Amino acid sequence: MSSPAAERPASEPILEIEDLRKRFVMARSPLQWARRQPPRVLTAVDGVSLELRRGEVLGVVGESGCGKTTLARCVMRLAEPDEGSIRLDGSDLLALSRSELRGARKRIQMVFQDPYASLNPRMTIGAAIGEAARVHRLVDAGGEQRYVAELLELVGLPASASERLPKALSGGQRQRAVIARALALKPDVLIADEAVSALDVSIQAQILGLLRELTDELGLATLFIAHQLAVIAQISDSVAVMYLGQVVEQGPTASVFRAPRHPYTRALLDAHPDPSVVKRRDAPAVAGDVPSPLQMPSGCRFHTRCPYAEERCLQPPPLLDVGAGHRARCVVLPFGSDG
Amino acid sequence: MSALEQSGGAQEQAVGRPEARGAGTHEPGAGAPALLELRDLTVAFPTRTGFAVAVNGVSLTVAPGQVTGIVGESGSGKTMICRAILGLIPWPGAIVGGEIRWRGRDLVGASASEMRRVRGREVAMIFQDPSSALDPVFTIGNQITEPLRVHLGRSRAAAEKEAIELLARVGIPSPRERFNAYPHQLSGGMRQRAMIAIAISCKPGLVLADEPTTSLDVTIQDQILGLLAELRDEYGMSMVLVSHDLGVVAQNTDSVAVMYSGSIVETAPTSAVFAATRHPYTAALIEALPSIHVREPRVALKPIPGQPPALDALPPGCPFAPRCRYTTEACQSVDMTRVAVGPEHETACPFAEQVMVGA
Repeated sequence: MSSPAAERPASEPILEIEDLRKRFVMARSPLQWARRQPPRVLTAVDGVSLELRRGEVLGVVGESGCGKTTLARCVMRLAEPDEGSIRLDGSDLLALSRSELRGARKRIQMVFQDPYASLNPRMTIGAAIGEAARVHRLVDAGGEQRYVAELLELVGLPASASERLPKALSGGQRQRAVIARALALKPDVLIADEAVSALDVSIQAQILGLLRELTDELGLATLFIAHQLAVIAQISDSVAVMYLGQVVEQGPTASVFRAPRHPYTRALLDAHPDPSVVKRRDAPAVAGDVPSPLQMPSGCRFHTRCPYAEERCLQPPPLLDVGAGHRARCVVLPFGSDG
Repeated sequence: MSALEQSGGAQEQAVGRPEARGAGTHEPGAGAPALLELRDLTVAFPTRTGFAVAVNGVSLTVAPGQVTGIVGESGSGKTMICRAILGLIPWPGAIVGGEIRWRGRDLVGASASEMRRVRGREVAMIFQDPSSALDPVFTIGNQITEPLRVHLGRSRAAAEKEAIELLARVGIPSPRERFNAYPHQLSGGMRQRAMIAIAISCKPGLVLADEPTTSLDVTIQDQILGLLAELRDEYGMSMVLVSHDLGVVAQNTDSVAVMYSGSIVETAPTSAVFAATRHPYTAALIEALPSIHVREPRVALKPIPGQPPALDALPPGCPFAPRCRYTTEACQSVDMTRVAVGPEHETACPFAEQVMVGA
């Protein structure tokens, strides 16, 4: 199936995200307004750079509020980034006009967490899949039915699903239908935002297998966002771990999971309840809550909770190369003895 | 009629009575009486076409001081078991058969006032979603002092003092200030800590934790599970831990019951469930589970084909048979009675010994 990232021919990345930043300015209360207080600013994505190649699944993992969904929305231009660039096949998405964007948008498609919410309850599955292709003039009215049938087969749904309403399908089937709709536009990039999080384990395995197959066979580039480490470990070729708007560690999946070089990645892996370990540790992997993105800690974002924190962590750490495409935003751990 | 009248004689009965089904579970070791015993519990909901059987003849024992895990996918009936124990089955559902023996007395058919004395005081529940289980218009303090005052008759001042101690115990920083906070002013993890404080306020004998960490991030989940383990030791509570996450169950329970479509298919000491699986569903679930141990080259997971049956149209015999890779015609006449296959290990699959060896 897939070969390790190192042996992959060095093709040009299809999607390049560089130094992307997105801040949200919070609404002021009347009292704050009257007092002329400046609005508070929430930093959701703070200088993220990622590359994605055809046939590759890039996993983005992090806890709620780390900015992974805002990142996806920026790539879709559902949110306007403040700074940075997003290049699709070399052309800058952020420089496109509205009409040019429409053409570019069909090359990037998204699958959301909740298949119940992302399908129109009054539209048959066939109509939902066909509409997208028709609007973007990929098929004419005559060819639509056959096109829909091909897509249903591709995602493993029976042809009869075409006539059904979403409520007549199970959760797993609905997610397949949503994937078929995304593929109807022959996208280059597929963004799956928590696409398997709402599904039961047995169904989740089906959808993970399907997404991997589609990526390999159609040469898709898949940005796979999830909060579950095990799911990311299963599907991704490379992985980026996010914490409070920044990528704290990235690299080939095997390298990051087997030899994590950032204390936060270590904490995540330690906290993950692994069924092959039938005994819990005494102390929690990491203490405290994630700080509010409205009051970002200075220096290393993780230093408030980090067991390895030192004086120098009060300076913002760079993303350091630790070998073979593996990088970590930590000045203490990567070259420490216990790595 | 009421369980109150029967409760005197029931104590001895609970220990001595021979069992018709699932023999092993009902004989807790060394003569220790079970704290909680479910016998043939059946919960059903009327539907347009008949009945949806959410819990289908479930028998289960919770021993004192033990953590019993209930694991299964959505709709398998694990939450309904907890709700049935507390008499909280949502209308129009009802317990249509079986017994719930709590310290020897049957809670099925207990009067409303009797249930109120049990609920919160003897058996407490921690719900999945702390933001909807806490009342948004009352302060945290108000919600913790309520059970202390109602169940234990504490004065306002005594209850407040105790509540602040409880908040401190569950790891809420500056508990005196948090006492006056509303739920929305706390983070998800802190809300769950507050709910745990409410649950343990009356020192219950049993805590039913229904997916207590499912809505939390993994590092917070880890903290909350650690807290629950500490409190269990400190208070000597038993616990039923309901989860869809095999990993959570593996690390936090003494024994496990695996549920599928309203039936318990396998019960075993936790280590045996994973090391010596004896039901095809449990095995399939484990094989479908992604792991953080990266394998190169990638090995595809083995999904379970199909989907669980509708609860109002359960197939005859074993409900897992239509998806089971070992299924035969005989599976349609399996009655889901569990048979012992090892020490405290039972499976509802009569063919497990033939098909699962070496699995």
